Amino acid sequence: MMKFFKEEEKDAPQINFDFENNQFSIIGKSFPEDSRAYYEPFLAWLEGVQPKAKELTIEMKLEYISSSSVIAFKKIFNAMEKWLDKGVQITVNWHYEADDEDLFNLGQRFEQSSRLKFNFIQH
Amino acid sequence: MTDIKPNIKEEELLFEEYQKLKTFFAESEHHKTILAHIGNITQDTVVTITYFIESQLELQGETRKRIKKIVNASIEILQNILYHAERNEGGFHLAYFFIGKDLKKDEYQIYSSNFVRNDDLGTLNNRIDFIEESDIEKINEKFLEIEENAEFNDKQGGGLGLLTIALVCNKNVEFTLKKVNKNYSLFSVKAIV
Repeated sequence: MMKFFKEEEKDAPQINFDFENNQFSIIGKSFPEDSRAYYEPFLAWLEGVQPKAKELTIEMKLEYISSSSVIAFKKIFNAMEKWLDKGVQITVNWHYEADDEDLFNLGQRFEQSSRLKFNFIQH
Repeated sequence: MTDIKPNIKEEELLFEEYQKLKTFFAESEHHKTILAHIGNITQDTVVTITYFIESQLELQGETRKRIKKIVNASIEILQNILYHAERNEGGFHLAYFFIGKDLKKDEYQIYSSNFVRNDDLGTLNNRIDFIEESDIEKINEKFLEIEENAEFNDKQGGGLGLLTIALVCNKNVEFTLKKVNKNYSLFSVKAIV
């Protein structure tokens, strides 16, 4: 399966990773009651998929990220770091509202602890 | 092991604190109540409260920066209750959550209080002490350390919740623990945005 899709929920984001159309995004709010239960299927898919792209850009457009989701995102970034070793270039576009210093700072902390390239896009 | 749930006397203690807070904000001309909740917290409560805060503050013309900070802090405080607060014999949380505005100081004050087991005070005290003793840079470092080492099976954040509240509020936060009987304590938070 070269595609993973999960519908947005009131407390959890839409996840769309589609190698056929070269579209990769996580969009919405992320504060589910059980982050592990929400993100584990996606993480399992990421760990099993063979990326068929030399370059990919992930659009991260999140409004709120709870601390329990932070660990899930860290695991997701770790899983994608393994693709770097297969020669895939990965860019994370981290979108944030101009006034949202907490979301910006969180993105910076992810950048600091990751080998992925981050672009910070202010709206 | 006998599991003695907080008895009615302790429940009344929480209720009295909540009433005092509500009365103060209602009677003071320099204060305004934004939201007051006492009782059980479910994930549906967390969602409803956060959507309510966002829409209310938008209607009042509050800045996006402040709204985001208040919602961020509220999510962490409410989910902390959801995951860790003790429940009464009926299975409901003994907790309150309150947001008010100090009009003179132009600041939002977020209050919460819930029962925790005295057996769990060691970890909680260590986390509170660390935040009180640390500057923002050190709290950031600790955040990265936990984020790096946390196991995915720790669905509750592995200790990032209190650090997140401190970072969002720029350390304008007070955590207090008050023993109420041999089994339980009241854990209270006052965060300022």
